[in-house]
Amino acid sequence: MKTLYVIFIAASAVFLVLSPIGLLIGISIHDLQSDVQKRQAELLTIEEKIEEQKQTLQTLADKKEAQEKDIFALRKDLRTQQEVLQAQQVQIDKGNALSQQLWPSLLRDMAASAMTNERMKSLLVSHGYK
Amino acid sequence: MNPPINPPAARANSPLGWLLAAVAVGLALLASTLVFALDVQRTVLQDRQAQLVRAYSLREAESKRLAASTVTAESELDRLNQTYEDGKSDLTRVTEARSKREPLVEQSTSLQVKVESVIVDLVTLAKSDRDAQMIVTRYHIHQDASGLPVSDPAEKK
Repeated sequence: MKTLYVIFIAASAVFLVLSPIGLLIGISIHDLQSDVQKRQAELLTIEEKIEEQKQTLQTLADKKEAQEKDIFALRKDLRTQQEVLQAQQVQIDKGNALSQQLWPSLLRDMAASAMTNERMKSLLVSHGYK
Repeated sequence: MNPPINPPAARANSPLGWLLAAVAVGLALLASTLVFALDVQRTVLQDRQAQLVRAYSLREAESKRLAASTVTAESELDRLNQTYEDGKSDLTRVTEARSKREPLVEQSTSLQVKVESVIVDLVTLAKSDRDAQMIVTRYHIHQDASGLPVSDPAEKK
């Protein structure tokens, strides 16, 4: 007889104790679910941002590669032009040396010789010197 | 008929008493199971939350690293752009200088051709003319491997 009371009271006590605990856990789960959803959204956002950053970085790397190729071609062109410039300078120096040093003196001596040497005179005349 | 001596005891012994006790036990068992299930779900959610926190932290670090790399790459690209602009400006300068020198080069080449032509004839004349021979000797004029006359001004007396 008493056994039934004890069972009834004990079971009711367990039910009464567990009910608020279950309620508290339920509230906690609700908060956790909200937080998890919020964090998942944040994770998705940052993953999209990372993807954009990777694309930007790839674009920059492509641009850098193209620019490096352009610079290489430009430097090659510049080297060629500088070599041409140097060759021009050598030619100009050669002309200057001829016109300022050898040629006036040589022409003077040849002209002096042409005064008495008919063949020398002919040579000079054949080249337009009278 | 007299009433029962112990009515509650009699009720407790009744089928209704057993039913109430069984319902109470059933509810207690249900509550226990529910609490256990909720606790398991909470643990799962807490694990998921911890995973998300770790994942976000890793992604955040990666994003910062990528942002730093982007800044470096942009700065490097700016430097390359500047180098390219400098190179273009150098090329323009050199090309202009080359164009400006063209007339001088033509003038020099023309003079050289003219002088070489005179000297070739002088060298030929020197083979049979004493005066020409003296001039050729004085100016150390000789023919190089290509047959063109050359003179070393340093040797000239």
